[in-house]
Amino acid sequence: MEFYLLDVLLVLIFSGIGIILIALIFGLSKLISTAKPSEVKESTYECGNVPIGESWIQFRVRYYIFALLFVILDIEMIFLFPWAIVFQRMGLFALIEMAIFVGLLVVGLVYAWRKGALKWV
Amino acid sequence: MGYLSFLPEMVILAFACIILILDLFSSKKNYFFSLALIALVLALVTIFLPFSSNSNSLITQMFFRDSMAKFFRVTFIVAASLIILISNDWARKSNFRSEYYSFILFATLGIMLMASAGELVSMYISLELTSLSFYALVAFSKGDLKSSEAGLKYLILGVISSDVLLFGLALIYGLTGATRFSEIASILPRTFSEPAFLLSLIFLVAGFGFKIALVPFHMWVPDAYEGAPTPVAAFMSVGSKAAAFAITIRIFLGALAVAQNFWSILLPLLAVLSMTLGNLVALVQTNIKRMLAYSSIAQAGYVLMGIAALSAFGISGTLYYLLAYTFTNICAFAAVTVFASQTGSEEIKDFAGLSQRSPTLALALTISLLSLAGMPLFAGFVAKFYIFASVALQKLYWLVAVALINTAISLYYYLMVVKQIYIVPPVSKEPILISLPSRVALQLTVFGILLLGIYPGPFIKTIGAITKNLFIT
Amino acid sequence: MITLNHFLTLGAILFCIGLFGALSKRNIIAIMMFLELMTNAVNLSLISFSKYITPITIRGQIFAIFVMVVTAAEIGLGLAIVLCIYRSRETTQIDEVNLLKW
Repeated sequence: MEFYLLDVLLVLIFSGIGIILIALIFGLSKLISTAKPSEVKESTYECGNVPIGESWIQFRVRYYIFALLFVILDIEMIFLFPWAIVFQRMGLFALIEMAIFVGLLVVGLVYAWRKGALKWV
Repeated sequence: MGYLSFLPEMVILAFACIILILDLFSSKKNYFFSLALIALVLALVTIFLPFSSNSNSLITQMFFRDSMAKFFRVTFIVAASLIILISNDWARKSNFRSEYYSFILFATLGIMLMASAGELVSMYISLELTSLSFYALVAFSKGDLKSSEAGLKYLILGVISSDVLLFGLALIYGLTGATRFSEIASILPRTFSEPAFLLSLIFLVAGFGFKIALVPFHMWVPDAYEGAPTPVAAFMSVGSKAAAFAITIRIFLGALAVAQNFWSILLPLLAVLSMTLGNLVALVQTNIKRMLAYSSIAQAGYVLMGIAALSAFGISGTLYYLLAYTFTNICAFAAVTVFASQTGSEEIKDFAGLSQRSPTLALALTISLLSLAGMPLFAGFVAKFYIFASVALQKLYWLVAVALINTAISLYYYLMVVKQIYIVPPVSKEPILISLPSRVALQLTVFGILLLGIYPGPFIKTIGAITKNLFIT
Repeated sequence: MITLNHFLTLGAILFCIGLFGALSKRNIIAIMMFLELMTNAVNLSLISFSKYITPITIRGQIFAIFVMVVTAAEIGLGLAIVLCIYRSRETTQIDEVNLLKW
């Protein structure tokens, strides 16, 4: 219980210091700097390009398809971590099993590729 | 090595992938139908090959290879073959034929694994393989808004229910530290006093109730069935339901059998709710797929009675009912598929005078509906009798009474369709042609219904042998 | 000291937030996000059970890995269906998808 309270106290102190520090920095910059707002300065910064239209626009549907493919293939790779740990103990058997697994993933990727899901139009 | 006993599953998986890949490299699209059928026939043959499954490898610890698993696997392969037969008319018009057949094979794989799962992780994965295939299949008609909408609704509710089920499984795992059903059964008695155990039971009942489509968790069923392509609806109503029943039997009578006092009170309650609400709402339906959806909810109620009886006799009744229901419901849906693909309508009133337009189709549909209602001579009668008798033996007379009243109610709406078919004069005289695969499917299912209804002896004997060793108490 | 109970409580709270959001949101994408939250709440419980109850046989963690992969597939499929609906309906609001009733 005491440990627990100590933990909470530490977190409180830490967040307190954080808040004070941020307030200090922003307060200082407000005090020292000069402010001369103009239209160019107020506009959104986009790597030097002149921004066009609203920022709340809908993304193209294509992004979603790529994101979907990425997420699914990416997540499957999670199985490689436990596999890598037991690989030495299981030897050839583990290798064959992972080859089958990756083979199934390749089937999926080939399917997506041949169906044209990877083409950016 | 116990791997060879998984040959049927491997065959199906391999063919599902082959069908997907072949589609990419060939311009002809008409052989996927026969390829899928070959896969299922091969799988059926390999099930009966005598591979030993007694080895102690990891995979045989994750899945049961007992006679009940065999029973369900054979049933599912037969059901899937019938579904593929009736799909041909519909799939021929689709641009995504290979995907359709490979998804059907994946769903078959999922339900086969579900029925034999012996451990929480393998159970969850096979359950999800089934669900994912069915989400995709329900939303399969890409241009059809109804289909997409049904798929979306099914997916959202399905994921919620999977999560609820998963939470229950996590709690069970946390309480026992085990994932295998046999280990859970031996450790569980130490944790009865935990409130978390009750919570996990509620979650499990809700999750399985959703997959089986029992009443408080049935909202998705009519929408999904109506929106889905008709063969898919047929497969969902027999395949995923029976697999969910198999897993329920395994979990509740295997892993949680020691906690019988806690959950046994829920089952009759859910059964009564499902029967009553399913039948009452089915009375007012005008779309035949929606009517069959509500009727399938009611049927799930009858099947649940067999489990609620808590005896080997009751479980035998459940298995027999599921077998009979497989043939009966596929027959009904097959008739609807043929009718809808020719006339483009699924309204009950459009079935008027079907007997004059196609006597074969009318006869098949009538037989299946009478079997669903539980009329003598047909499979449904023996199945209902079996289950009601097992419940009566356990002295749950009130439950039998409710079920009998419900059977009477259900007879009304089934006979209304029969009346449309035979008595009401037809709007158009145009005959309805039945393609060869559909004809074969109809003949096989009608044969199955009559065989199970007139000569049930050998089946009852086989099923009795399966359930004799299953029941622990 | 942080105990198993803390993790389980957090898991239960996240699960309830996810369930509430999934049932009350109108935007389908938002619903999917809440579904993810529910699954991850369960994952949290699984992993903490694994750490505190079966630290040697890490079955809970293995379970969680499988759950993560399955969820990714589910959400992928879900978004694909949403795309399908969006293309024909121009909407991602769940209450505008209303062909099937009773």
